[in-house]
Amino acid sequence: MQSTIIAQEMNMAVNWSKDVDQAFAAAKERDRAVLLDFSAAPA
Amino acid sequence: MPVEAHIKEHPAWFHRFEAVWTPTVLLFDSDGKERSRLEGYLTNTDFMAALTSGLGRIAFVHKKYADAERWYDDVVTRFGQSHSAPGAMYWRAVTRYSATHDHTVLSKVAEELRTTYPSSVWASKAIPWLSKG
Repeated sequence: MQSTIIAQEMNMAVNWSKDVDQAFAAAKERDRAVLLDFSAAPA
Repeated sequence: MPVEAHIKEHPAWFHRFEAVWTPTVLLFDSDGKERSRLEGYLTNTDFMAALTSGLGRIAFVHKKYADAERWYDDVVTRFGQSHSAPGAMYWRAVTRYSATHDHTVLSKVAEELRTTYPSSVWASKAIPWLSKG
C-alpha cells in the first residue's frame, strides 16, 4: 500500500489496524482522524 | 488511526464504504464522517499533500481554524508543487477569513492564485474576489 511505502521511506513505523470499527471508537475517544486504505495489491 | 483493508480480507468493507477502485484512501474525522477520498495512485508528494489537506478539511469543518490554517499552510509551503497546493492556498484563505472576517484575505489570495497557479481551477474559483480596477 502506498501509505506503507511512504512511511517506510520516511523511516516511520505504522501500526496498522484491521478493525475499522475499533479504530472509529478509538478515534472518537482520542479525537483523532481515521485513515482507511483500500488495496488489492498482492501481499 | 491507520486501518488497512485488503479486498481478500475485508471485501464487505469495499461495499460498506463504496470503494469502487484501488487504491482508495478515505479519511474520516473523529465522528466517523468521511472528509476526504483519494482514488487512484498518487506520487508520494501528492499523496502526502492530499492527506495533509484532508486534515485541514477536518479541522475546518470542526471550526478549528488555527489548526486548519496550519495544515493548509503546510501543504502550500512543503508541497507547493503538488496538485493539492492551489486548493490548500484557497482554503487557507477561507479559513483565515472564517476566523477573522477580514475580507481582504480573499482578494489577496485571488491575486496570489492568479500569479502562482494561473491555470488552476482554484484561481478561477477566486476570480470573484479579485479587486476591481
